Parts: sequence; structure tokens; C-alpha cells
Amino acid sequence: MGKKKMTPEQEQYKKLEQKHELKRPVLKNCLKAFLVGGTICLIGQAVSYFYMYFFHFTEQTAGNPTVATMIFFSMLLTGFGVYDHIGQFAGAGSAVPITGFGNSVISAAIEHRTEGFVLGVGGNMFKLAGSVILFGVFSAFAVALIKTLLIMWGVL
Amino acid sequence: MIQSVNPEPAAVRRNSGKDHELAEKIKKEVQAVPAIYDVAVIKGKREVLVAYKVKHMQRFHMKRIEKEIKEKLEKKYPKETFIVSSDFKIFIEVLELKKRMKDKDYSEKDSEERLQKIIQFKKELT
Amino acid sequence: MLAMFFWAFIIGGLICVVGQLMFDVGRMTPGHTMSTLVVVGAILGGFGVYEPLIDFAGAGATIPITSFGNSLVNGALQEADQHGLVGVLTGMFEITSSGISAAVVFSFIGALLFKSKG
Repeated sequence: MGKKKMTPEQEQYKKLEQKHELKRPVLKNCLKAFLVGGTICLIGQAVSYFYMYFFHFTEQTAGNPTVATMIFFSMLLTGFGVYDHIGQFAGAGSAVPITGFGNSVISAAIEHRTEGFVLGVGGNMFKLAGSVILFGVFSAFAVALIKTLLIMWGVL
Repeated sequence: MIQSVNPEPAAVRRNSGKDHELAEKIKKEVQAVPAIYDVAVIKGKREVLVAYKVKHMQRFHMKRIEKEIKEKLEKKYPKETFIVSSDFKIFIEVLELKKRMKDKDYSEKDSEERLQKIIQFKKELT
Repeated sequence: MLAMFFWAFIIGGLICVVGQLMFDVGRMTPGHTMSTLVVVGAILGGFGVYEPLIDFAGAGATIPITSFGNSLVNGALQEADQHGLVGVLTGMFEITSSGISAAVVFSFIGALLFKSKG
């Protein structure tokens, strides 16, 4: 993206824009994100240990039911409208954990239900999740391909 | 679970004094590794299961520690097959098995079966 | 065990702070941020750095979306180990299937049970 030559009016508008733009309290936001994100992970750890103690899951395999449970919690929080409030407060603290992924899919499904299940729910569910899956799968493909080829050629 | 529990080493074959000695020696060996703070050893018919806990700050190197312990034990006791695990669940399962073994009614066959089940857990990856 | 809770909190919080910096300083949308973090997770997983982080921080490393990228890479590598190059494609969703299936199932259930807030 090269710098386009701006006319004097555009330059002035840009200065005006910057003056009136909402200043983001970066430090406060980071602190809130830290606390909420950390708490969600803390709850996830407790859920993990719960599954290890009371069921036959080891440290390696407890990840699966833990993730499913966290997404279940996000379904409840999203359904009752609580997750949006948490999101307003915590920003990335609620978007980065896997509950944020769940929230985006679930809230899209709930919102578009009025348009019908096939076109509304099914068609709109993966709005945000789609880009996550796209880039996740493609980058994993590239990384795994490179690593496998390197191992096959004896470099690694 | 927070502090070290320090369980007694055990052998499934109750009447074999040699087994018990071996389990004790193995336990001392593993305990000597500085990164480890708790060890539980059970010797079964064919394998020896060694469960241990790693000090938290050393957990970054957990895979390397597991390899080191396995190699060390295999070098010192080449006739035995070792299954080593740092997994929390395996550790508490081993403690549970030892508790049950103290009960005279718990047969050797049951202990061996349970030990095999624990080894299955360890082999599961996902 | 207590140490695990502490580090889960710290590391999980730190990853979220990285996300927040992407929001505020990088001016990225949530979609951009999450996609970037997944890619970061995949790359760290490829270098073998993410697994030790999971050993150290437990849920602090498995709950953020970065672990999704790491699981994709691990699934692909595990299958490629056994079945050769085609395993990179077939094994990708092996570990992550619980997360995606749960998200799909629960969102359908959610759409059945809950009403949209307008």
C-alpha cells in the first residue's frame, strides 16, 4: 500500500480526524484483557483437572472434553446475552480464548435464526470462524508440508 | 497432590522379594534426578511402570526429561521393559492401585489387569 | 498442581494481552486478530515450541485460539509420520475435531433454544 498523494483538503481532513478520534486507553484495555483472559484459562484448567480426577482422561487427552465444555459454557453465556457484556469490557480477553470462537459461531447462529435454519443459520454461522479455519488450515498445511519434506530429505 | 506424596514402591507379585528390591532401587534412581520431586514405581509381570512428577519450572523440558529417564533406566536394567510417564492422571491412578493392592482380597490378577489398563491410558495420544 | 493454575492464568492472560495490542495498536479487527493468532500458533507448533508451553501452562496454552493452529499442525504431522505426505491432509482435523464439532453442535442447539436479542 503506497502513500497516495493527498490534496490539501484531504490532509486537513486527516488532521481533523486524528484530533477527534477516540483515544484508546491501551494500558487499561490490556489490563482488562489480561484479567478476563487469564480467568477464562483458569476456569479451563479447573475443568481439565475435573475431567482428570473423575473420568479416565490423562493430561494429553483431557484437552478434548475441556474444549467442548468451554464451548458449552460460551453457548450458555451467549444465549443469555452475557458474553456481549464481557466482550465490551474485556475486548481481546473474551475474543482470543476458544470461548470467543464459540461465541462468534453461536451468536451468528442465534441471530440469523429468523431467516430460517438452512439459509439463515447454516449460511451465516461461519462468518468469523471461516477466516480462522481458512488461515489456520492453510498455515498448518504449509508448516506441516515443509516440516515433513525436510524430515523426508533428512535435513531435520 | 500439591506436595510430594512419596509413595512406597510396590511390586505386583507379592511374594517376590527380588521384585520389591528392584522397585526400591528404581525409585531411588529416579528420585536422584533433580528435576523430579515425586516418584511412584510399580513392577508388573512384564513391565515396570514409573510415574513421576516434574518440578513446575522444569516442565518446559518435560519431553527431554522423559527421554533421559527412560534411557538411564534401560541402560542400568536392560532386562526390564520400562514405561515412564510424567502425567498427573497416571500418577494418581498408580497411587489408587497401590492402595487397592494393600487389601489382601485384591488378587494379583486384578492388580496386573489394572496395571495394564493404566499403561493403555499412557499410550493414548488423543 | 497449584503452580499450574498460576501459570495458566498468567500465560493465558499474556496471550490475550497480545491480542489486545493487536486490537488497539495494530487497529486490527477481531477477525484479523484471531486469524493471525491461529497462524502464529501453527508456526510455533511447527517449531516444536508450543508443546512445551502446553506442558508448562496447561490450559493457559490450550484455551487461547493459538492452540487451534498448533493442534492442526500436530494432527497433520502425526498422520504424515505414519502415512507419508498425504497424511498432512488427512490428519489435519484429527485433534481439533472436538472443538469444531462442539461449536457446530452447540450453535445449532443454541439457535433452537435461544431468541436473538434484536
